[in-house]
Amino acid sequence: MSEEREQLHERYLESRLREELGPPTDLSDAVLRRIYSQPRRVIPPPRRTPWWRPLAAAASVLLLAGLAVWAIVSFWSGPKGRPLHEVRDRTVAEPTTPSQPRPAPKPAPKPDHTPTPEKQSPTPSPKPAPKGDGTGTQLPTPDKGQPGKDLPPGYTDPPGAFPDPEQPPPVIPGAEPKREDVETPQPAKPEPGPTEAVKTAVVAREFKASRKDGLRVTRAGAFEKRKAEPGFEILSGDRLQVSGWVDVTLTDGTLLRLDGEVTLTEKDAQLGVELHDGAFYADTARLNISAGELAMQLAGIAVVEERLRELDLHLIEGKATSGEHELFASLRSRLGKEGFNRSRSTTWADVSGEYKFLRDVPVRRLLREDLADAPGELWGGEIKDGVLTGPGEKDRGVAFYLREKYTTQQGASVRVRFRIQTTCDLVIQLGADENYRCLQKAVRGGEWHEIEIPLGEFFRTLQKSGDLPVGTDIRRFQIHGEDGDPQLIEIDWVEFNRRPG
Amino acid sequence: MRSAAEIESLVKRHQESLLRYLRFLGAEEALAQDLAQDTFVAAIHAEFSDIEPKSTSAYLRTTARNFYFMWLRKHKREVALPGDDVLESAWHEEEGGDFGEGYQRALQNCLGQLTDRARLALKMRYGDNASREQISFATGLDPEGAKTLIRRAKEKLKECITRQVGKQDTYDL
Repeated sequence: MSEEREQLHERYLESRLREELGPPTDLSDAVLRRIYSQPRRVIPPPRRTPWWRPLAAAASVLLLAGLAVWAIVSFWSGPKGRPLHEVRDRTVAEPTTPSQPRPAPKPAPKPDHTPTPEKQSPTPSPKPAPKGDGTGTQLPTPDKGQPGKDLPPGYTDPPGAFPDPEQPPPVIPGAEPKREDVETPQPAKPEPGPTEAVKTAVVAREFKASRKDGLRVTRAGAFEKRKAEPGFEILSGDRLQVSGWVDVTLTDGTLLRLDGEVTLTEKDAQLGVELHDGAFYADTARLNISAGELAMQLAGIAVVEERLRELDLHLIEGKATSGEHELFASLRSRLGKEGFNRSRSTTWADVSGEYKFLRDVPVRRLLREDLADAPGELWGGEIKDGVLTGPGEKDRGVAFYLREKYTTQQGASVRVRFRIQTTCDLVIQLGADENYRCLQKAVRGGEWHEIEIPLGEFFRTLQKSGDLPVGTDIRRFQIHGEDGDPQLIEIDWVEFNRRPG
Repeated sequence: MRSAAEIESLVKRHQESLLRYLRFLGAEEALAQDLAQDTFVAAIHAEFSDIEPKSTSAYLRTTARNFYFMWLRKHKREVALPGDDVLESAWHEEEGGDFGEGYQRALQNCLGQLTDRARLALKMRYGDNASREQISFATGLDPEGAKTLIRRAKEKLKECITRQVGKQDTYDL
């Protein structure tokens, strides 16, 4: 057979060996993600055309039509028509009337005729009216282009300088104070009560941005945005703006991944997120979430997006509560004033495919043992230079008790950095009321390994069919040799993490 | 557009064979996975009809081959490959009429007949992408010895598989 054919045959065999001996490959997730992922969010909802504009336009048209009719009637009515110059004195929009240049044939006055155009003239009043309307004030419309509302030069988008959308001062057409609202620094945050009270509470110290300078913070009452750098403390009331995405770990361990604009708060020892725009992911034991008049409480994992003054909620795990309404895991819903509605099922695959900022899965660290000192009682091995070291004898190896018990959760995994001296099979075992283990085949000796094992892969040591149930209290971590002697085992650190899905 | 469940099912049914085909053409593992994804995405967007497995498989292979050739051209790689008809006939010869299931069974049997050391070497080489130094360390041989061990193991596998699937020994040296 030709050399070409021989080469193909060789490659076929090698391909088969990879299939047979290598880890299984599943492309379905990646393909689904590529098909369903569309770059979304990031762009805020389009600015709405103020609702009064069509009305104002219609009123203008009616006015013009009325004037035209009146002019024609005046023209044809001959001596009964009023002198044109008198009419012009009383109306403002008159110059555009086609009949205007026509001289009135007779100046004979007819007073009862004049009110007709004047009655029409009040119709434009709806035009400015919406600005003072309760509905109109909900919209953040500082840049409508009204001359009186233009920012003075030198003011460049200080978010704190604008009143929150919920409580802008009523706008009255023609009234001047609007300009003062924009220019005066102190009314920037017109909710001094709660903000002042909790101003100094630190809500987060740990954050990671996907881009350099990806997090900018506007402190309550201040104008300038600060770049958040390592060591920066986020205080209650701080407004966070994000470029790319940012992971923020709150002081109670809650993990947030932000893709939008939020204010973090702490009130009565309860942490909260006020969502102004965009979306965020949360993995939390308890978190208050609000947006405008809407509020809910989350315990679990969810993605929340602000959309047209309502909140889209994708609840992956746990429960969300809004007043008397409740929403449970694996459902997506929209929170409006009437509670949750349009609920339908969802999965983490759906959500991560829908939101670009979740393609890199957020991981929440739940517990970490650095082994700088003995966390609890050692059960095999000793700690030297931050590493737990001991002989790798079968059924014992090295082990330690955790500083505090870890209760297993859905989606959790254990991550460990370790080294053994001689290549062999290893058992990683978690001790609870019973032992649960996971076998690692042919672990290479002489090099550091960092592996992550989902807790779902652990099985009961004495009964292989028994999985590690959610809610088990783990107290001990152990590594020992199984097939062969690793000679020496060293553990650098161990951590328990959780990711959605 | 197909539903997510249909897409998942399609991918799961054909991914192994498609990856195998791309490796058979000479694509590295990472590239094979990328091209296989491209192939599925293109096929799904093209709304092709998944009437029966054989024609779907042929359609996916052709698309994957085109993607691979495009990649080679883009990266200015010279790979000597026979014509499409030779490739196809060689592929069918290997796969047989059962999508390679007979070959897989034979391979599993034959792997069981190798020595532990040879199996470990193959596992490290093809399962874990281990370097020759790592394999030699694990098997206790020097690097050249490890290479020879793998070559001989593969020769034994070829012979054994040929016997089991009843193929003509036309390619042996």
